[in-house]
Amino acid sequence: MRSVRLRVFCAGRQLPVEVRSSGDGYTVRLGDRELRVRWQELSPGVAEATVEGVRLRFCYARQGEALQLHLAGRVYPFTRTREEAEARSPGPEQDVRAPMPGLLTRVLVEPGQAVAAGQPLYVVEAMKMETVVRAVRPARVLRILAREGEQVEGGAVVVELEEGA
Amino acid sequence: MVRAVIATPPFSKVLVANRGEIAVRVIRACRELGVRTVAVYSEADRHSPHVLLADEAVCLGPAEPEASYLNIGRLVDAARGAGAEAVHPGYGFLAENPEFARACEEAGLVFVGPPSHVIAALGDKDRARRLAQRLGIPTVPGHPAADDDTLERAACALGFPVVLKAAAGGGGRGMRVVHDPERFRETLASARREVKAAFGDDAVLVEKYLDRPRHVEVQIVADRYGATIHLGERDCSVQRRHQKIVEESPSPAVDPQLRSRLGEAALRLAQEAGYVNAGTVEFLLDRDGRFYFLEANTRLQVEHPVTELVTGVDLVHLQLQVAAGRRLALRQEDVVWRGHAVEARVYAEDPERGFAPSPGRILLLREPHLPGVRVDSGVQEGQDVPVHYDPILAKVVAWAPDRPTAVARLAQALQDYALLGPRTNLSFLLDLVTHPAFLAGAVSTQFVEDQLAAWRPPDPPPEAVALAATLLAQEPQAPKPASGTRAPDPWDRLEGARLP
Repeated sequence: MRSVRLRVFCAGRQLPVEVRSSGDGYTVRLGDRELRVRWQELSPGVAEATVEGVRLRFCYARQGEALQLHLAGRVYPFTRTREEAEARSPGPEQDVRAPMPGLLTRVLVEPGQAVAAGQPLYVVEAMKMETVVRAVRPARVLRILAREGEQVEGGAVVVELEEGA
Repeated sequence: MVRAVIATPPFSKVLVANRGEIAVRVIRACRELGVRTVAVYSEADRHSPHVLLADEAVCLGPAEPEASYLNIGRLVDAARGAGAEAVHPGYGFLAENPEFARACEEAGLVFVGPPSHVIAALGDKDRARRLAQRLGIPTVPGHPAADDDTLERAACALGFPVVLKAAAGGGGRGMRVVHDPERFRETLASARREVKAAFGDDAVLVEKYLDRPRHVEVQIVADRYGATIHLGERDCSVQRRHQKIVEESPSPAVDPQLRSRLGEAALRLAQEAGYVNAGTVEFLLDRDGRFYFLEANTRLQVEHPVTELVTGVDLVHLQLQVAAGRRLALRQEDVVWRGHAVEARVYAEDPERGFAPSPGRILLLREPHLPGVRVDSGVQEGQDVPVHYDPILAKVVAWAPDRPTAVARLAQALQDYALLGPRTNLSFLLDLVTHPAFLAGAVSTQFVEDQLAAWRPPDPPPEAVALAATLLAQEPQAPKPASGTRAPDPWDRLEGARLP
């Protein structure tokens, strides 16, 4: 997912939203507003978020296309219909973006190569920890956008994939 | 079991003939007194907290109440089989059923409640009303249970609006207000169906419907030796569909003088009826401060915790001690009231859809933990809320030295209460207890209809939509296994199998 457009239903209203991943979080477009959103799960279903710089706690439970969100004493039930799945994105790059800023220690694939789900693509090292980034779905490698030994940003596209190859 | 403080347990073992939060609450009291407990459950409640909390548990049968929690034969067999000395009925189900009390008595089991003949006398609303009238306690004009034609004539004579009620059993079950004579018959038929389903008896009575009264009730406790005390009143005016949802003690409408008059009327009725154990005498209080006897409930009430918090008395302890034949250690002059307590009932129901029950699996549960807040809960995460029973999940009760602080604590607790899966009334309760009329203590039994009939949950703020969008943008994952359910039990598989 580089950008996903959704129709979200809540309280009898349909809300078109667009979710873009950016850095360590998301930018969510609601109508003409854009909100910067970051959150991390503290325990299953309980998370701490920062929305436009405001910190808040929320709980959630998801069942298929339905989601319940508990925020400030209220439960909001949401459902989605995916308008354009993975809009504008030719492949599952979001899933294979660099998980954090760090040193690109190894690139394990070449352009044109077909990769299987779960196949290692590259390795990033940060805080003395190596993270292997793997393909989520079968794909073909289109381009390599960074070289071994380079510093990459969190969320950077290192390997561009074409899905369904 | 730790028994450092309590000298002699009133019983060695008690069977708790109920489910949900009240079964949990009674089991806790038993444990505190050093009494071993036997839980009972239907097949739908196999993984409920009350089953896990008790020392032992007996399956009564299928989910349907008639086959399980209303099955007198199975309950008595379970109690005898487990070697219980006494049976605590909780509230609802068989708590006010004289047949059940009698079956226990005949089986040599102590029924934790009044003797069966007292339940029969006071539980029958017609007989209770006549008793009150004989004692000079005012009653709401009405006509006792009768056939359809007689009730219709009585309703016309009383003048509409009238209210239909179950002759046996309380809790608002079957209660209907009829404004239009044209609709009397069909409303009566539907009341009879609901009453029959709830109590197994379709007797319905009719009363004049008072305009915007308060519902005020007096807690009493009596021992076998004639000592009877009252523990003050509870105001249970805030109701939806004629069932209480928020209760408090003391009542904002009762001053010390009225309290002693209400208490005195309740005590006279209890003593005249030969009452034993904990019970409640309910009154309607009109806007001029006149009260009318409504009914007596021969059991522990759902809302008993507010009385416990302002008096410091544990009513289940008293019930067990009195049932064991002990004398009431508490005299009327020992009863002191301190501060204010408010309770809100948490239901699996959808306030947007006429409070329709909303069963289903509890996907996430985080109960509030705050100073001065007690949560009596009967559910846990991962549990399925069955369709077969009352949708009560828990009660949140707040105490503070004064009413505004108690209400503020309750509001905070309701805000902190996260329960996902079934719809609940938590958001509704939060708006209710922060409503200006409620904060002012100016409520009647019509409060919800008058002030909150058009209630809708607030629309999601942008931050909620944004967070939801980031979650929904991801592909759904396979559902997690229920966290509250136990690992597969090899004995489950043996059901229906024949053992050699």
